[in-house]
Amino acid sequence: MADDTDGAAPDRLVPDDATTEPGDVAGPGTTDARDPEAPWVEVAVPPFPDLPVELLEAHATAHRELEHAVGGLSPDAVRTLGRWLTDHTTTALAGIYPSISGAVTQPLFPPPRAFLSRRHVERRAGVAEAYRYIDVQVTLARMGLEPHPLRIETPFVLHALVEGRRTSDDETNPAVLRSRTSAWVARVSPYAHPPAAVVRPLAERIVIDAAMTDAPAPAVAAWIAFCWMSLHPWVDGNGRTARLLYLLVAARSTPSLDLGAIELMTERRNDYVQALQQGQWTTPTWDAELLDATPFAIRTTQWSVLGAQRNRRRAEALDACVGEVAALGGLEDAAAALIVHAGIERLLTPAHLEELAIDTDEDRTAPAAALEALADLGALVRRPLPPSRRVDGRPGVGYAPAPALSEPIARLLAAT
Amino acid sequence: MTEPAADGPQPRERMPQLIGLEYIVDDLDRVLELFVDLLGFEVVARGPHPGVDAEVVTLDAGAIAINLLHRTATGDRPQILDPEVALTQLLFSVPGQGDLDALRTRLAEAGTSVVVDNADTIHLTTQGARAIFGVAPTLVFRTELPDGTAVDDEPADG
Repeated sequence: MADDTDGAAPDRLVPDDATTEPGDVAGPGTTDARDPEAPWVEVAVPPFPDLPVELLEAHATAHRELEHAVGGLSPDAVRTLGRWLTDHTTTALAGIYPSISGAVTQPLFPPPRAFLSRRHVERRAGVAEAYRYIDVQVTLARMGLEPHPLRIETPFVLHALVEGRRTSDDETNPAVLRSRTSAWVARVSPYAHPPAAVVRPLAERIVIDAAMTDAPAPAVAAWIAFCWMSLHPWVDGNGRTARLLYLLVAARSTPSLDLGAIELMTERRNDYVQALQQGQWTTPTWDAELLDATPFAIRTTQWSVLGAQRNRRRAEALDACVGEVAALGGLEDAAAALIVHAGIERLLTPAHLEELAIDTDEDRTAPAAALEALADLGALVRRPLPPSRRVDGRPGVGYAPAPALSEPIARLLAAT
Repeated sequence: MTEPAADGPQPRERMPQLIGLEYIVDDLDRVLELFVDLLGFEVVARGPHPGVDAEVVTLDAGAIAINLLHRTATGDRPQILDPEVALTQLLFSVPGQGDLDALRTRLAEAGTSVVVDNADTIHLTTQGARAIFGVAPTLVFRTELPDGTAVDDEPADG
């Protein structure tokens, strides 16, 4: 199985004999000029999915309630939750499986992933940069400083950030559209991506239509992700770019980024792929009249609801835990939140905490100093990092809650 | 070497035991020629796979069983999405349900990627196995002798 989970793993793509060259551009309705066998593909896009009103209402309610719950938390709990969620979602955006999934009730705070390959680490790092780009774009748009966060160049920027590192065995050319026709092996999927010659005009059309429509944001977010994966414009990184585009577009209707849906896309990957294929296998290749984004949109909107509800439970449970640890140890909320964070990370390292603090105004070395101070107080204990969690193989030290403060944290970790 | 965690591996009799391998093959007859005709392994079961669109052949290879999965593409069950022909699984037997549950917790807490297939079976994702070993055969743990069950792992697109 390919060491890839974001869509088109290079070793899953079997380029056919079509040999368009970089720079080949087809106008509307043209075929791949270099490949007489390539199917005729019209430069048109599928309609936006029509989501049930009840689902859209449930979506609005879930996100409103999440925002309300977060608004009632202590600032330290909010910051801890935000850091953990950002980190957790980055892993999901990168297509890296969670530590536990499948036929099991998911814990609110699953253990962090370890045993990652070098390429997974690079994937996470690239996705983290793209995530920050989205966060900035959405923030600027909400401040009225950016008319629209989705522009023609957006997917190219995202892909350059995502694929700018060495994330696979093959050279994948960051922000360069594929120049060859590609398809899944026929026994894996009967759907073939459209010829390379129509990739650019279709990609531009997808972005423009998504930016201009006034259709509900959950439908548009799912639509752009579905179209992007069906178009498959890059050699690699299509799934990651599609999920990032989802995140960007979904932000139109949610007070904060729709992290819960992204988490469930990776956690329930089989369902995710099935919903995608359900809308693709209606046609042998790109056909705007036959591709159907509705099954995918229904699934992602349901996950957005479930994800918001889960994040609300997380917020409330974490806030309560911070309060308990503060009371138990006679600590300030900020110190208690750091101890709880160490607990949900199982072992929190200064380097990781500094990385998570990158978007804040605080001194980036402050978290590490705080960890040391709490260890000196006996509220945290130092432990050597296991080999599976070392960075670059170097030994290091992590911090875990002291046994005297562990009971409320153990309950938090057991919560589902 | 790292020291075992306090709640780490169990005594030897509770350890997972390797009981089988699973291959996905393209040309079943050629593989059977090797395993049966030349090596002398016995076919102990052959028929449709219960979970995926494939024929499964189970061979008695002495200390372990070997399952061979051959795609049949009849469309009545989920496809095997991985296009590779490969050794895909190492199958381990775990003594009891409690051992399996404890193993699941240990593996997840350590940060591997555990998928719970059902009450009797868990596996590491292929992605996770490849990150550790550099090759794809994943580890499957069951509380009973497998009868050709394959786990549904990591579809391709998305």
